[in-house]
Amino acid sequence: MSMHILYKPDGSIYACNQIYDDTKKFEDGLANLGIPSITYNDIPGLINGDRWYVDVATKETIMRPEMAVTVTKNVIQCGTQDSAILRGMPKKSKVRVYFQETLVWPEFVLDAEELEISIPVPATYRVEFEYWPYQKFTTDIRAIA
Amino acid sequence: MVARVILDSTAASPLRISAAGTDVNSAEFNTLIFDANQPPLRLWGSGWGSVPGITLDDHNGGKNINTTVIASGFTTPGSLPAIFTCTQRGADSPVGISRLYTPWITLAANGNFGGGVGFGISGGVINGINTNWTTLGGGSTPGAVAVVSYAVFKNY
Repeated sequence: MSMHILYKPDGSIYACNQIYDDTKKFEDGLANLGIPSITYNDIPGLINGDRWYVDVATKETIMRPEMAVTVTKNVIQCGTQDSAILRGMPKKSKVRVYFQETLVWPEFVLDAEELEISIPVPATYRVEFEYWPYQKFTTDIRAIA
Repeated sequence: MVARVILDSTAASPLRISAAGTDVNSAEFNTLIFDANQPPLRLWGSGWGSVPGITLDDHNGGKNINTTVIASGFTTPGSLPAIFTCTQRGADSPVGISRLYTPWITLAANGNFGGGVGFGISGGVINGINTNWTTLGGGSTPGAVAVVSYAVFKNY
């Protein structure tokens, strides 16, 4: 039994296989295609690229760090008089705002240390930060009338 | 004294043998019960792979498929790919869909997005396939990411 992790040049994991057959043949197959991979023997299961990545220098698989984001409030009044402030995200994080999995604010790069959000329409919105190699951060902001 | 038992199949029994007259005391277990009609199906392996979608700019330029190798060494004779599934991840796309499908799905294009996801096998390699594109988010925003998962069984 062996686990094989396939990763991109930045260390992000895009595939993972658990093989119960010839490990060497599987490794050779990837090597012949020029695909970098890491093999772990006798480890059950598959890992998720959302939480793990590969340190390409040391060829070790490590957990992606979590963003230390704080949110002043998760429930705000609709309109311009109330807002939620998010702090602690890495500078240059990509920001997205969703309503029921539909992107309602186009993705942009945050060039600041904090993000203030006011919302005109009552609903629950999901704010998402992304910055490699951190794990994606999400939080829900509920705007009430 | 050597005990010798001959196992054979009949119309009323699901038992199958691949070589009649095999001595049960020295035969391999699989030799007694395996034949091409009733494989024991041992798991060769399973896994997943993520395939990016296509941007609208690339799609309009003629690109209609993205593929990613997710497994190789897949030349074991008698291997039987028994389960292939694929799913789309809504969190990575402006179009949010997260479902499990087999083994190829096509989105109902509505002018804002189209394409499908699935897998292919060739040359001993399992490829994840993604033809998703979207008009949402601008020409450089890729279509929904495809997560293709598989399980392969050996029939020996």
